[in-house]
Amino acid sequence: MLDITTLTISDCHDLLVNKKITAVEIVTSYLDRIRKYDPEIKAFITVTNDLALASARVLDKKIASGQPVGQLAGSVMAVKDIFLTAGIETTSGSQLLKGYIPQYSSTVYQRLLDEDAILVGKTNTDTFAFGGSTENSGYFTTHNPWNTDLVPGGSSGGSAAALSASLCTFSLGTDTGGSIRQPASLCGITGIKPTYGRNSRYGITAMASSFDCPGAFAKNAADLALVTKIMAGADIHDATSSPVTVADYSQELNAQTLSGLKIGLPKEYFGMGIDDEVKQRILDTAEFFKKNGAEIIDISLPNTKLGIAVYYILVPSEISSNMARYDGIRFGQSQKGIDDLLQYYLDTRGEFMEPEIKRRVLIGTYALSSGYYDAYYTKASKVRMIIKNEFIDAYKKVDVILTPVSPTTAWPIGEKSNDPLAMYLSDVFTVCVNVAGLPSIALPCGFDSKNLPIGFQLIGNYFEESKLFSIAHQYQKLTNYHLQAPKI
Amino acid sequence: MQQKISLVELQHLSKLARLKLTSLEEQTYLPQIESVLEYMDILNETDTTSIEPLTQITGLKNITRNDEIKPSLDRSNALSSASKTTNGFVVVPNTIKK
Repeated sequence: MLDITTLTISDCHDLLVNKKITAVEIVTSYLDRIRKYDPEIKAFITVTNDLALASARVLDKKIASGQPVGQLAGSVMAVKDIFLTAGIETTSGSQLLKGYIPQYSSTVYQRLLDEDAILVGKTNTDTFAFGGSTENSGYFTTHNPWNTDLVPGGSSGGSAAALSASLCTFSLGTDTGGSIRQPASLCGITGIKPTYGRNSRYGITAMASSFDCPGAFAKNAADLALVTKIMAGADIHDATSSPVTVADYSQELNAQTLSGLKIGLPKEYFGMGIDDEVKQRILDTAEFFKKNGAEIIDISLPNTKLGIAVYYILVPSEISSNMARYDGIRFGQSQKGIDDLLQYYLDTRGEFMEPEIKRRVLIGTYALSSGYYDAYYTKASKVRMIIKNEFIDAYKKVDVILTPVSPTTAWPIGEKSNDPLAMYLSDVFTVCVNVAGLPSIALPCGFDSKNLPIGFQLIGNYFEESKLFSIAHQYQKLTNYHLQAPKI
Repeated sequence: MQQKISLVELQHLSKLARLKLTSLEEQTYLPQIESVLEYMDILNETDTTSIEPLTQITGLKNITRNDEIKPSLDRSNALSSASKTTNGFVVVPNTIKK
């Protein structure tokens, strides 16, 4: 019997519009699977059961009456709980926003709804996306579908685990320092962090406004290209969204051949605590591209080692500013029965903010304070320029840069949760992409000896998402790592 | 090595940031923040005297829109998440001592 939950976006769409299956059948298949497996995986904070079925019935009526349907008709999406969804609780993974029902929707989510994607639920995340494992969630920790004793990565760990366990057709995440690419790598799926400004940030709870990038996870690069094409583009509500024309990523999937492709391999990404098995797998992947006609060029990005320091000064600084809006007055939870305003703020924020919020707000407040501003914020902003310029120079010699995503495969829940610095250091291969604002696609390329997925990333020049999708698509035509599913 | 942050500074920062910390939280965060700040010293190895700080990466400037009146949230909907309201206004605790 056909297992609907294994189908790609285009497969589902074709079966639906050709009336071989109904939208209600698709949604029911996913909801059944969520009921069966999510109690163990814990990918979802909210499952939108009734709403999903109601949307499916509307879609089925449209098809029955011969009305045109959107490009995502037949797809079921899981959305990280930091995207505002009108009328549906949005917690940002924090107790601070428990019970918060937004009055409007984020732009990128709305664009997907407009193409008839159906929301199946809101997924777990580290509180306000601050973290790399979902252990900082104010609700619970999500489990990796490949081994439920391990973290799924984060912060978009709920969305990654949901897709990896086939609990949706595609899912949404955000990537401020690796929060799409790292969980994609740890869960063995494909994820894109587009160029900063490619996707609107409107209606997504802000972490670090000059870094935040909404993006998606999908079963393969072709699905991801379609979802990204729909999400991308300028938005009147986000002044940093880019007016650059969005290419038709789906039409250009075969535009790039591997033959003659110049791939840069930066030596700095093969030290810094990388696990031997991961390192070997990434080098083998480079060799695979070479065998298929690509040219591998050794390059150097010497200031990569400063990425973590730049990131963990600038991002907490922006966080401390963004978190100031949570005053417990206009939205969010608040302490009751306090008459004094200062005490109201102190108690509300002290009570409902998770520890990682407090740590980052304190670090950011320190870095922005009058005595330390130049030593930390200005210094880090200058090194940010150096890191960006290094990438720009590299793209004079190569088309794309190939690197590992995470220095290790998934690690045990609890292993790093009491050591913030150790957790921060695991972002070493992802943060520089955000520091520079470049696009990067992460995709699976094998397994370690414990059968845990290993991923690599292809980092492109600004607005070269199309090239990344095309190379990833060519790679996935020649390999089957993206087709492997965890045995749950 | 000189300490980057003292308990007094942490307490001052937490007040500036409007965060009430318990003494247990102070004891937990102080060494954690200290170790993060110590790690940041790595930046001092790089000379940045002739480098301009990068504060945004899009290169976009002066993005404006026409000042047009458009439909927006009605008042009751806009106030629906507020902790306390009265007669279409948000209620806040006293800001001035009597």
